[in-house]
Amino acid sequence: MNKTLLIILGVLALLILSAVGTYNGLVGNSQAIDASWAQVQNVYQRRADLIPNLVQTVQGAANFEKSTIIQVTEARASVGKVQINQNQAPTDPAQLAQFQQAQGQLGSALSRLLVVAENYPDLKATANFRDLQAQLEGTENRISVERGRFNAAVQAYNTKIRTFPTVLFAGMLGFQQKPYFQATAGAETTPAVKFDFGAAPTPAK
Amino acid sequence: MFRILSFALLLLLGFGLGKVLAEGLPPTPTQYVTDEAGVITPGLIAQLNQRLAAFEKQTSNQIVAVLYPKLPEGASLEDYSQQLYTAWKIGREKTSNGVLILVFIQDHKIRIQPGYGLEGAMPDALCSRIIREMMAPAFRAGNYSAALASGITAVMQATKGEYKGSSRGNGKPTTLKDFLFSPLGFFLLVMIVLIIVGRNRRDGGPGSGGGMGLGSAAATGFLLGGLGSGFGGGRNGGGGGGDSGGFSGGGGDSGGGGSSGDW
Repeated sequence: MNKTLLIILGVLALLILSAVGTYNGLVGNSQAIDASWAQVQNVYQRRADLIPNLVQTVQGAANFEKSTIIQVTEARASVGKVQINQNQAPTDPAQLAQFQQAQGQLGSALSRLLVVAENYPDLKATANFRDLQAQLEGTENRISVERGRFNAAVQAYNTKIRTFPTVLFAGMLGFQQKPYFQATAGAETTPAVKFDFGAAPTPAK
Repeated sequence: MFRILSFALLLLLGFGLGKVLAEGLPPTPTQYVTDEAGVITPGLIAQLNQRLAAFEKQTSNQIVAVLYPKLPEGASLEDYSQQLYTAWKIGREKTSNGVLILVFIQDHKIRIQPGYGLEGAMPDALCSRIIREMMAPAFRAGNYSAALASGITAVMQATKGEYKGSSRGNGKPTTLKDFLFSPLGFFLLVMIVLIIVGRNRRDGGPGSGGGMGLGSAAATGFLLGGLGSGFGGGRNGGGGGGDSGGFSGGGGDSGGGGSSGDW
């Protein structure tokens, strides 16, 4: 009799231990997600910090096309309006999508500005502009790297939650799926540029 | 039992192998400077290797340069460079104080990418300047050896003094606690408990009914061991590697900084 009881107790203890193990593992995963989220915020902030200097440099060029500058400053302002926790990864997919959309707009406004700048040889030749361009390119690359790492961390967590044996405990312990950055079709690539001045020959209608 | 075990082992090995092959990246170089394109004089490579080995001893910064004939089909320069950096683990584990210099001769492309720890000493604009001013003109002129040498010299000067002389990365020792909370340790623990319980039951005389056999004990142990794997979470020691002249990654990583250029 005693021995049966012992076995039951032993199995129970093991179950509790493994639940604790699951919990600890998921907490670790969540923290990895938050850490990579903070890193994502970091690199987006880095890009935002480059903008005042960029705008100033570009404005210095003789009659630089105003509309592209305005688009960049407006996109930056709308990024600032998105309320998002800097240190904790979002749990709401809609919130992440909104953040991503605002940042995507800023990204394409910036790359449009760089494309337009190709038409200003004097501007392009300045060391200041070249440095800024290198910084912007480097920052865009950092953004894609950190976003990739964030997605990898979320994927590890989401997979863990859904697989046996963690799936037995995850819901009970209050761990939910977390959203990813979506691959954006075209938003991050260089957009086609329409020039306001009529010098460029337009193809036949 | 043995057959099942060996099958499981094969399966594990298969997964590991598949992963390595799927990535399809070139192996970690064994020297600081490697010329896969065959355009640099061997004497210069040996000399640069010596300088970079001495440089690592002095500053602990790892600078790795590789020249390839061309980028793999469909790969982007930045993406490929990032993958190589992460795979080769340039720089110390804690400080990530490494720099990767890649040149693709037929594509006419150059990339300089610092690890996290050298982003301060090598901002993107500086990497871009080194490419534009020190490397691209000489590459354009067809003077590959001079281009590489002056690029490496410029990178060495830029990184100097950012991280001083901490010795080569020391692998974390595995403690008893680490072992007990690892999946394997947990599995063994459960096995031992179950075997003891099973034996006690069998010793209890004819009245106690058929005790738990070793086989089912093992099966239960395996299952519970799997349950306990939440404790583990890949805790690899990751030793630094040999201290001979060649290069071996110290565990560093990069966040995608640096600059690309062409000639």
